[in-house]
Amino acid sequence: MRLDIEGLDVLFPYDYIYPEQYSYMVELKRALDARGHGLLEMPSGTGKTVSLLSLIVAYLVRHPADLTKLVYCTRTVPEMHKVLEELRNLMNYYEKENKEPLKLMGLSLSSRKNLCINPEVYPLRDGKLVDGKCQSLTASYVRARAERDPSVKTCVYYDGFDQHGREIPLAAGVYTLDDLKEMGQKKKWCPYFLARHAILYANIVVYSYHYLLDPKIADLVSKEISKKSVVVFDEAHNIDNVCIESMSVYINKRIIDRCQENITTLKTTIDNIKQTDEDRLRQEYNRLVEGLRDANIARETDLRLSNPILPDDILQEAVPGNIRSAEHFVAFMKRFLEYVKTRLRVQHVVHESPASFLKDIFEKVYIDRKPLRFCAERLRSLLRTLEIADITDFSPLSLMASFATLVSTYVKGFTIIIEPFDDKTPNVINPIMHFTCLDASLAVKPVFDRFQTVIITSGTLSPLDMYPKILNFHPAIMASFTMTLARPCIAPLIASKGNDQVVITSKFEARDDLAVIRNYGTLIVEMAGVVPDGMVCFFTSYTYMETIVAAWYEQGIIDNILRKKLLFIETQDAAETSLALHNYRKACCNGRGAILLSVARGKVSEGIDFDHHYGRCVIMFGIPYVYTQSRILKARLEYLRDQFQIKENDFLTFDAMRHAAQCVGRCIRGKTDYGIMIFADKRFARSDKRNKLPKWIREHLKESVLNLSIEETVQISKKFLRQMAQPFTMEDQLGISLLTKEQLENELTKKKAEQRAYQSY
Amino acid sequence: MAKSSGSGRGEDILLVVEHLKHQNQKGSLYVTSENLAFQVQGRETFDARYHFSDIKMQKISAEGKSKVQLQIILQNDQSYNFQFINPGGQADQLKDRNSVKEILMHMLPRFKRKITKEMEEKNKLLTDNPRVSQLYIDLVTTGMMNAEEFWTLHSDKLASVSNATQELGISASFLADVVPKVDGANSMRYNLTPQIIQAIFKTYPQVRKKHAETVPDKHSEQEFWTMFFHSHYFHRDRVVDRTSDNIFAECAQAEQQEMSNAAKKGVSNPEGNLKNLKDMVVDDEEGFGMNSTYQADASDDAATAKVTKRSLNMTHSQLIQRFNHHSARILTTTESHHKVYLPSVADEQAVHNGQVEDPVEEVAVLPQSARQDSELELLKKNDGGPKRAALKLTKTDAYHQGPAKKKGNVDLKQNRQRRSAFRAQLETLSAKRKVVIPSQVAVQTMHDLIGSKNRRQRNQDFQLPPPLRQELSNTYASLTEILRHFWSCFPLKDQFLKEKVIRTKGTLEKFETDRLRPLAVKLSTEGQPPQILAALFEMVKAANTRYQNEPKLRI
Repeated sequence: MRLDIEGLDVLFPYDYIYPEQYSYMVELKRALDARGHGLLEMPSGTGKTVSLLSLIVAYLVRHPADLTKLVYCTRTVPEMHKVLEELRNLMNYYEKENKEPLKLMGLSLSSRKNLCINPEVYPLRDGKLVDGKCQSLTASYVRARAERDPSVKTCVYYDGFDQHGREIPLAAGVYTLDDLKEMGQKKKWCPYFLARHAILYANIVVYSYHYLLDPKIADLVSKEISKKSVVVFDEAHNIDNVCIESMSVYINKRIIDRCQENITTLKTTIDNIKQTDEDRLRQEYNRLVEGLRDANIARETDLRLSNPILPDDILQEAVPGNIRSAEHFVAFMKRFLEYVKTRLRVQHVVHESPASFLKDIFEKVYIDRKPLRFCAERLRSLLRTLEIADITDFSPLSLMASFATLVSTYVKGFTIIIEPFDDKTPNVINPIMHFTCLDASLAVKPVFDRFQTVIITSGTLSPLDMYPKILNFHPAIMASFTMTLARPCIAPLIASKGNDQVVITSKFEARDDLAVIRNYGTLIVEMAGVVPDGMVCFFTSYTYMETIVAAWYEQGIIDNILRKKLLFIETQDAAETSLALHNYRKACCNGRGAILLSVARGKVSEGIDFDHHYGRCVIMFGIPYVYTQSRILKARLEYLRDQFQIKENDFLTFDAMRHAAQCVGRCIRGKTDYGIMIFADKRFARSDKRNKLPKWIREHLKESVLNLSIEETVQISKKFLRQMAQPFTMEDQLGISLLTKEQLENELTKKKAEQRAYQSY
Repeated sequence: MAKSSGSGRGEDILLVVEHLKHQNQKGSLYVTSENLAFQVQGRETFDARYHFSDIKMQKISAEGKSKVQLQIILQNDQSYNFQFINPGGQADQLKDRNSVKEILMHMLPRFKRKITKEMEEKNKLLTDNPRVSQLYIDLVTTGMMNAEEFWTLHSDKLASVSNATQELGISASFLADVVPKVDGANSMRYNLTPQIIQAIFKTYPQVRKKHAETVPDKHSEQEFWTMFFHSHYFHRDRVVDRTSDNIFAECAQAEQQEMSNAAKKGVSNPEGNLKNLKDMVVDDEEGFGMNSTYQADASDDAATAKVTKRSLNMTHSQLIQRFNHHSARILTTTESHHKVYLPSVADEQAVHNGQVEDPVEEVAVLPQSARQDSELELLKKNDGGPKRAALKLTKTDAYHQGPAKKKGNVDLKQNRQRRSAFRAQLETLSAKRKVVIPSQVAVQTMHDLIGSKNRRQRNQDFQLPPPLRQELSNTYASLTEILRHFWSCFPLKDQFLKEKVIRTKGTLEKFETDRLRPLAVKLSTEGQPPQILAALFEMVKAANTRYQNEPKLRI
């Protein structure tokens, strides 16, 4: 249908529209007009993606001068695929309506692992191996050598792309990863480099967060993206963690050992080259003297990871004299490594700031701050000069160099923690040094500064005011939309006590109480008897889940569960868990029914949907607080308190509740779907927890269900399920949660719908 | 000793028991190589003989009963008792009884009639379906058609019977049903039924293998299961000691291997594959990131990382692994036989797209495009694609709480429209009507066409005495059956059909002489009009004519 959104003519590829989609588009339009950033929360399953795409594509079409590009960041490969399929659908609709195809091009980019078609490379599957192998076939010096010596192997696909691929831009249309691969196969072009090249002129780019947030890759991939772009971070509820991770480094014993090997190899290589080809080293030296370190930066194939620091902080100076010569630099790195090694030899936990670390290193081994800052850059240049075939072998040393650069660049917002052993196994010496970013806003700041509009959106962003604080930006619009529903298909319940009136909670003091574990068991067994098909349970951590499962086994609860449904459990091994998940789905489909035990913050809780019969009920056992004794977390909390005036408890609760919301939200993936959400912990009933749930869940959490015993929970669930199993047709929804064009044009309904759907902060 | 007299062949007498009571008569029991025979005291001939093939089973009286008895049950479910009354006392009686029992135990299985499953089924069909049974009697027992041919004709009925049997699934908690009972003397009793053993074998093929390997020669059945109950299968939290000589240690290893293989093989569904789910760009690089236990990927740096992680709590993670394995096994035991599934949203989608795939496949490689906008399907107008009949309930309460009378809820407006349309039609109809033939003539013609004779005859049918009527209808059925065969042979495409038609012709002739003629005679003697059979003769005649006119059969 054709919509008029505050003067913008928007083609929406469906015949009906949800009221909240309309409101969402209105808000989005305002953000684009204002050229400001936005924060939008809308429940999953209400067509967020299609609303975003429809409006932004319409904007791209109508105002090509103001907005040239959409950069859509998602987190998983299947999501990327979904976005592009939706886009394809939209483009087809444009073609049907306008009788001519839209002159826009959209594509997705992923790592080499997912795009490579070279039969010698892609079977390696592992990301690192594929990258390494690819580089050994495509690096500029390898190709240069191949010109001289035909026996040197190169990649035919890259060569094909290099010869022809650059000149001809991709035709308008939508290219998924598979499309790119297929085209690559046909034209003998490398899909990866084709995509990397094409994102420069593509109108719509769909890729992973990391390509924008992680400075190591953003510099390589996204550097030249136009400023007149709108950046969308979808499923962005964890964006702060992505930011922090992209700037953090840890070093353990293994890495140190491998660094040592690397340095020895480097030394021998340099000695060898000195005897045969001293010229090369001299040239590099001269280049560095002249400050031409970026002379061949454009060689896209040579680099795997770029400088780990943010582009603004990179020094525009020549490399300092004491690390210019290759030998000196290797000696320098060795000295630095030895220093780190001595630091790891500690008996107690050390906690210090980067500044004191720098001071200490200067006092002990006379390493200055300035050369440290150039370490990453210098190592890159050296590796290139030495023409090392597989750069990934040197990843430990690059890591060390990155650490040197980071620690000397950032004094604020980072911390160094050295732990001699793991907290869980205090007898095993396993020293580890964390260099942790505490400030999520650092990594995301360049993005906010550079692009005119950045939209952060997800199904669960509540409380909305937290994100601007921790990411340190000023949104032009902030809005939360609920799901308009023709029937109450969400049943959030708080089970706070067992039938024996024992309070159920995962509070640290009470979590090992047998009565609590037994009551959790009773809850799951009783619910298994009531809920059809699939049921998903989330625990607060792996260790807690393991203890509970063992206790349940002893108490015979597992047998009782097995009498009703099959049981699958997430493990820490991804492959094992994938298999369990696959079997779980199978059991749900063949009518046998199954229970999946899983962990909040685990792999399943993020990115796996349990729509329809895959999850009719979600049980959240306890509040998924992060492990609060972690020193990194403590440091971060302290930093947040000092810098952003966020109270520790507020942040912890916020973090726990967003994960809880993520977990329970897995079972609702649309308006025809329905599901029970059981919060099995008394503490959920408190208003400070409850009010941090997204609005679309909160508004179904009535006073009467805040303090239920297990039996009451089961009774309510029974009734709910019986009600929900009734046939549900489109006619029931029309006018309430589904609008036709006529209804939308009717001012009255529009206003009503808006009221229902939208709540501004 | 009396030699067997009844049968022509000689039988070896295997055992004679002197003191016996059977049907309140004293006598002696002869156990021969084919019979169980009883001779009343002082007589030369056998009073009762039971062929082994007639005996279904034997039963013996319980130990400690005052009477020592042996009971045989015949195939027709009749039972006969033999009481052992050896004056030597109960011990001797028991000895007598046991020696008879031993021999019977040996002999009976040899004579057991091999009633195959198929036979049973046929039998069932015949008893259940009187029509088929009647046909069988008429056609097969009279030798007009051989049994094989008859069954090929009715195989469709048989097949449906055999297919209806449904394989039973396995309860996930079958191990829990083996409730160990502790008795006072510090020992455990496990309750194993054949069903549970079957379930164990099905779920754990390794155990079946072990059972087949070891049971008769190395361990007894009981020892085997005792070991099983001590193994990790039953105590799933037990760590398996690989070095011990426990026969299941090997199984555990093999299963571990199987699990890891399955995990390694991965899942084809891209959405289910957690390892590749996130589009990791650098995070598989060691050292970058946070090194929190949650994000670390165990499969990456296999050995070291896994060991450290697993060793945190070996037993717990093993327990979890075993649960997963158990559930997965149970799932696979059922799926290989039949595929039952509830249509998922994705399936519905697939149906819409006109591409219904194998359901199991569907689960495995859920096409992404099919799933992706399943939620937004709502936003589309429902046009195109096969429509499903939606269940429309006017009163949902009534639907759920049992049968209720349908309330008049007719769309009045629509009804009125329909009525007026109908009326309009009627009017035009009457207006166009014109006389083609006078009604009297029409009635007369119809009368002639139907044949008033027939009608009268039918009236007379009712006066036929019931047994005669029954016979008549049976004859009809049989004849039509034969004729069906006859006509189905035409055109005579190959030699087989030709042979068949000749055979059927023979049957037909036989039927005519053996059944039809006698029936006609019988009817005439009872004073019934012969026209009753006219139609039958007509049919036979038609077949004969066809047969004689067939050029291929001339020679």
